[in-house]
Amino acid sequence: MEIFMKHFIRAVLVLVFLILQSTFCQFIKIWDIMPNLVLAYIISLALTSDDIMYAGGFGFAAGLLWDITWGRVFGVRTLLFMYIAILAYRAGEYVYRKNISVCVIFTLVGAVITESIFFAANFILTHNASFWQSFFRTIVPSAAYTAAFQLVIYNLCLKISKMGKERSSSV
Amino acid sequence: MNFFKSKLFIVLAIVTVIIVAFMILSAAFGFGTGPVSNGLNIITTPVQNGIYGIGKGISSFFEGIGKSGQYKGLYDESQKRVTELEAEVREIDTLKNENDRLRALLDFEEREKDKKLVAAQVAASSPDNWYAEIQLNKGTNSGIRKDNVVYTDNGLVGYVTEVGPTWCKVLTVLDINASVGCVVPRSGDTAVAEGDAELAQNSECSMNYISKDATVIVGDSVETSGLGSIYPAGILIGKISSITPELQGLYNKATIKTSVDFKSLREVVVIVG
Repeated sequence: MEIFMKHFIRAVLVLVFLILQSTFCQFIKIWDIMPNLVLAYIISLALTSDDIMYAGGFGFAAGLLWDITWGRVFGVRTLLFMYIAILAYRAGEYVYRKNISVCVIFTLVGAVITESIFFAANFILTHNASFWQSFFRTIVPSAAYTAAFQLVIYNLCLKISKMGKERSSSV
Repeated sequence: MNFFKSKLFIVLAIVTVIIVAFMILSAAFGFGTGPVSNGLNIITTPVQNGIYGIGKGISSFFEGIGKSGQYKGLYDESQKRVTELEAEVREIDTLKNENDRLRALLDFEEREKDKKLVAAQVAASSPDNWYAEIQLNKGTNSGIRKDNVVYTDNGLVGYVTEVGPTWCKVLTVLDINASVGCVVPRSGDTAVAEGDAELAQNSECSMNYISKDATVIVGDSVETSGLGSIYPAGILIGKISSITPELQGLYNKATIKTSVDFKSLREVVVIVG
């Protein structure tokens, strides 16, 4: 039952973070930049889960929800979040995953990669936008802001990942 | 184990091919409101509206606290006197604001009496840093249709791009994909107001294709020209905040400071007929 609750809570949190992203995050903007709570959650979840397919599946689901509710071209966030979750899981195999600073650094890098690809795919060809101007003015500050939120989100994911484990280990 | 023969690689390859196919299709033919999107928005809009309302209330509260700090110096000099004056000023401010608001509302109603309008509230905003789209808490149940124009008594907000029974999405004039035919009433010069991701951070949009012969100046009001199939003529967009002469091109460029404050936007009006 506790294992089921763990998966259920993780799934509900995807929706909760997506709702907070379009409401709460509007009020905590700094210089008009907001963090990406969904991405932070996906990376935390990848680092605290035990299966790469599971992590990738959650990335896929979170991106799909984002694309369905707010996407302009279907599938961009779906693919990006799925690959970033898989990358975070794979990279996490080579370091001590339970260290929060690892999670913060992964998020910083992950957010820069995700937003850079999103910007390149959506704006460079169609809107003749300047990449480097947006990189320093929007992408990097947003990634840093997102990484700062991991101090809360990662601990939450860590607590959820322990659900069901304590009982099974004590039996 | 060879990664290219692993189960993970096969799954990733299949998923990627399927999603890329959908991506191409949605880019080519548009990505309409499907039943899943509609269902999700029906469920989430009331929750978003509640959280958005609470957030606006809290941010207004802190803004109020910030403003009260400016009276501190005077407070030290004459506590009692200033307290009395503060109360008086607050009362006058409240009355003045109320008077201005009612006057604007009266003018607005008078001006728009021939149009069928629906009042709505902003329930959510675009979740990323790139787009300036908002979601309202009214939809087809209130008579709202795709391409309906949205504005406030201050000026133009945007137009409806997607609509469900209890929600609709609005592409604002600040959005990178927004394009509005505009005119400067003082000089009669026409141009196109377009969204810009960088300018949007200051509630500004760019004004492109201004003729080299145009006589626009900083401070000029800019309104919708009525050209195109969506926006009617005469809705205020904002004021010109800067002009950039292009030495080599055929046109000049300018920047418009929108008359609507998108950061504190909550109540809007949709023209439904």
